[in-house]
Amino acid sequence: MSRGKKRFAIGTALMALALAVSGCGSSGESGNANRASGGSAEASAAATGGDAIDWSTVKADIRFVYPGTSEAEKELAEQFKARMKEKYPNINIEYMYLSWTDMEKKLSVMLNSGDVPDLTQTQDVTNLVRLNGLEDLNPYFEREGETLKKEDFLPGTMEYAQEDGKLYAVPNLANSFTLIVNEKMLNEAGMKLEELQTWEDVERAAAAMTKDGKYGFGYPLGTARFAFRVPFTAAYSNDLLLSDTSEGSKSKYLETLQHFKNLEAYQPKAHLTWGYPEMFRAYSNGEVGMIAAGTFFTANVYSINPDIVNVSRTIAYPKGPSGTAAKAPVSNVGIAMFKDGKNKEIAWRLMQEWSSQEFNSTMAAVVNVTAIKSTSLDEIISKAEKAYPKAIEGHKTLLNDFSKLLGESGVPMDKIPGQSEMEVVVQEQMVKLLTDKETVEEAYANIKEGIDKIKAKLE
Amino acid sequence: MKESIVRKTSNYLWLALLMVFTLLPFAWLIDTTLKPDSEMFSTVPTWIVSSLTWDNYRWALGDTGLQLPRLLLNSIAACGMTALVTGVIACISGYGLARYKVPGAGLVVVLIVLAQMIQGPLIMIPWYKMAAAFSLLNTKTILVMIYGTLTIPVGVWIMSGFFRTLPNELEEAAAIDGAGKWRTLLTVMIPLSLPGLVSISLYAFILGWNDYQYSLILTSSISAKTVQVGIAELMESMGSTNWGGLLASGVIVILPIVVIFAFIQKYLIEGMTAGGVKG
Amino acid sequence: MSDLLELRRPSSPLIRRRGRASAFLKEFGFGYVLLAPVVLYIVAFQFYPLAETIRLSLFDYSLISGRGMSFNGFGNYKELLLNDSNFWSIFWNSLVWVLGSTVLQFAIAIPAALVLFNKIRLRGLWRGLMMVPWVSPVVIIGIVWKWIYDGHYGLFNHYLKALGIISENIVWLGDEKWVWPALLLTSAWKGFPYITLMMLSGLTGISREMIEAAHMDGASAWQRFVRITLPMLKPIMYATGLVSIVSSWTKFEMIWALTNGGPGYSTSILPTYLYTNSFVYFDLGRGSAIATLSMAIVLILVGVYARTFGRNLE
Repeated sequence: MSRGKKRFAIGTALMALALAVSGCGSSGESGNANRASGGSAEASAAATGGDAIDWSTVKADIRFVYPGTSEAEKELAEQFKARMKEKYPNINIEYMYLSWTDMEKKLSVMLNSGDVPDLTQTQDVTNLVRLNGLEDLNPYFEREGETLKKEDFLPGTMEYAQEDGKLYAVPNLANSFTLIVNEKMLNEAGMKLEELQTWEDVERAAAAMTKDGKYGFGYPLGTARFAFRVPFTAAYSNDLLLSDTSEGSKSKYLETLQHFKNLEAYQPKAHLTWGYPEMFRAYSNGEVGMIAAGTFFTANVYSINPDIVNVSRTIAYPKGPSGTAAKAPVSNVGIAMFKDGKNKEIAWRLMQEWSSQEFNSTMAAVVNVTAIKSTSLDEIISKAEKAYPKAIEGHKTLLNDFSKLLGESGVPMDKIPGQSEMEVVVQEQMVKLLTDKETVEEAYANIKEGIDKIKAKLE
Repeated sequence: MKESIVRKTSNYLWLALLMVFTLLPFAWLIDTTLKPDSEMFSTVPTWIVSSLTWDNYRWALGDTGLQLPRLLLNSIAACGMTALVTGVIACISGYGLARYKVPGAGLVVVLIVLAQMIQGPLIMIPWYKMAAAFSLLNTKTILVMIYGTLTIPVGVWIMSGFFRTLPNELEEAAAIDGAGKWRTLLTVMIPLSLPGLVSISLYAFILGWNDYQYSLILTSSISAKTVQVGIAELMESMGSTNWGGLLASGVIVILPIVVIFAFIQKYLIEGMTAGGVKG
Repeated sequence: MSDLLELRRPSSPLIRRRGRASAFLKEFGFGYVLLAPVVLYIVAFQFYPLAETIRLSLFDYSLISGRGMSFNGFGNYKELLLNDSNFWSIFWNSLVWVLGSTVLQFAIAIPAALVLFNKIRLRGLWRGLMMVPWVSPVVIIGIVWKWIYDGHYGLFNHYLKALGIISENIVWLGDEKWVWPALLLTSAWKGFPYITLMMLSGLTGISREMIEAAHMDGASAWQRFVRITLPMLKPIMYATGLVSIVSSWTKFEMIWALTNGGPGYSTSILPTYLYTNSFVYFDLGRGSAIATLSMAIVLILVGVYARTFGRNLE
């Protein structure tokens, strides 16, 4: 232990020297801090001589952590690998395919024991930063003659990858949580998409769609991650962050809980145990009329039933009673490298390739919305025709919906430290609330207690 | 005569019941993999496959799938090695435990019984650190090493029981013939305990085969990870989009093991007998 | 020659001690050599990691708190035992899980073994098929069971409705009343083949003559089972029960696959709780404390088991 502490002290000192910044915000494991400082020094040194590398001969094995959620995304990754193999014959990319949940689990163990991969896809970087795993990319962006510039990215997407002024990922795609509506079902129930303006309208629509074994709304409660995400999405339109348990937000919180309580009657009972796969399935079969999902929608439902894409529309989750407007939280899916990676220059090069217009448009064609300004919509659509031939019309409509709502209602998504633990608290109380085990007031009190405890622990 | 017919019929009835219980989930799994995606998730479950498809199996064995043959080889190599190592250690130490009442043997027994409880997430973090320190992450070696935590204590325990069932006179006779201790063990005792040895090794193989957590944490590359992890990763990450293919992979993984088992169950049962009873 | 003679002379204390040591080695050396592999293995790969886990449990060691690692004494334990409202319900869940799984596995395995022990056609095939659950990867089979229990598409509801047993779908894994029976049934399904296998071994060891003799005495099948078969199976049942308890204590994949330990922590057991704390919340100190407590509890459990069932074996 004492040895570890000492290394930690030296590491911090070195780091302060190298970066001329005060201390490191969050260093989990002492050993990492030490090596990290070396890494940063290398980065700044490379700032002057980065171009000296002969890219045609450079040789390396690159480990790339790739959590995707659909087969289309996996194909995308393989495409990238093949293209890089052509360009850099001696660079070999090996993917680690994982789910988003397994990814953090695995990376925590890897970082903690010094076995560090090179690249990773990221969404929320909070935990990885706290695990002291990611490299600050600012110095790379600031170097002379780099092809990638910060100005290339849509406003708002960069912020999500930042923490304490440092930038930890290159955002490639904008990712937003929204409400997906089966417009055909809605129309058959006698309502129009434009009528969905408030939570009351959502409840009304859900009620109208619920008949003949079909249901208006689907909220997957079986997985804590999604049990949290749906109310989290809705709460934005009520000007509430779901981790905010302050007295001032209490009424908004109660309204949010009440909203889901109201929707309960219009959901298949089995939603208590469902995750997203089951929910997408029910939605694709036309058994559920509205689900909270996001930009990744088409990729997830296309192989189950391409026709569903053609009848689907998306809007920002409508406005809650205390909300000022409908809002759609925007995050990003990006690519990041590790502080302690052994091939950081190569990693940076690959990150730029990954963000190149050509590849970015391919990616956006599959998972919807690019975060890079210069990527053209036409190119995305022409590529999407290849990815989703049976649903291209519907997919185009959705793309338009997304870009419209991002412009009108997009707000940066908040990052919540300790979120995964809070998710379980919210799931537990939501289940109790929706199965009539407790009242809205009781559920709120319990959520508040649970979340406050987690906050106190992480302070 | 009459009684025996009644008995026979009831035997087969019970057998049928047992098989339904055992195989129903598995049958549903196979049935599902033969359906196209659109049929798979009908609200009213049905066993009827109206448009039979082999697409899922094609995907599972093809290049776009999860490189199943490679993963299977990894699993077989890691589990086979585990079986071997377990067999060897169980033989040597089990024999020692059964025959040599050395001072401290009681303590060893206690340690072995305790060791059976030390497994799983209980020791995961230190294990990962050790593996990293010895650069063994992402290798089949580390899997064999950690599977030993599941198989070695139990293996030694059962083998010592097995050796106890063999009469002492065997060694005495061998000694009179002038055989040394090692030779006695290798040429007399081990051949006699072969059924036990085989069943211990099979048991070890299955325990390794069933592992998911260890391999998930300790391996990541295609050169080392096991079929369980390979499937689980894809299941979690793209389960919603290609269930059929993943479930078909599952069938491919389960079937060969079942076939092998049908052939060797006899030895397994015989081997466990002596060891188990006295153990 | 003279050297040899010399050695036989009454010797100095040093030589005598050496002599004793070598006699000791001669007598027990081979025994120690034989025991060495297992002892070295379990000490290095099981007891050392356990000690390390116990050490970590005394630290405030969260990877994401930004606090680093600091000695905390019994802080983690105090927090768990006194302030954590989930801990005790998870503790009870663990007992239900372990005892329920074990009992149910035996309840299925004993009749299964009796059936498969009979002379039936294609016995090898049936025995092989019986092993299917045991060799099926949880990741695949968990999905199938989840599907069977599903409250919307599920097979289980479908057939129960067809048989007129229930009139409305039950969300098996989402219902407080049903979730544990459902989990235990799945656990029993997965685990019973191993026990059946052991019981079959046990049955093979029972002499035919004894059963035949009882047959002559006119004992009914049930009497034969209770008076002869069961007592003869006792030793192997005892040993198998022990293995079953320990393995259901540490194996949590099935729960993980079916409910993720939730909703909330309502179907969590200590190993899932430890797993979540260490690898999802990154609180290694707390995770290690749960591991240590879990270890202590299973020790007590096994102790009680051994006292209750082990005694009358002698």
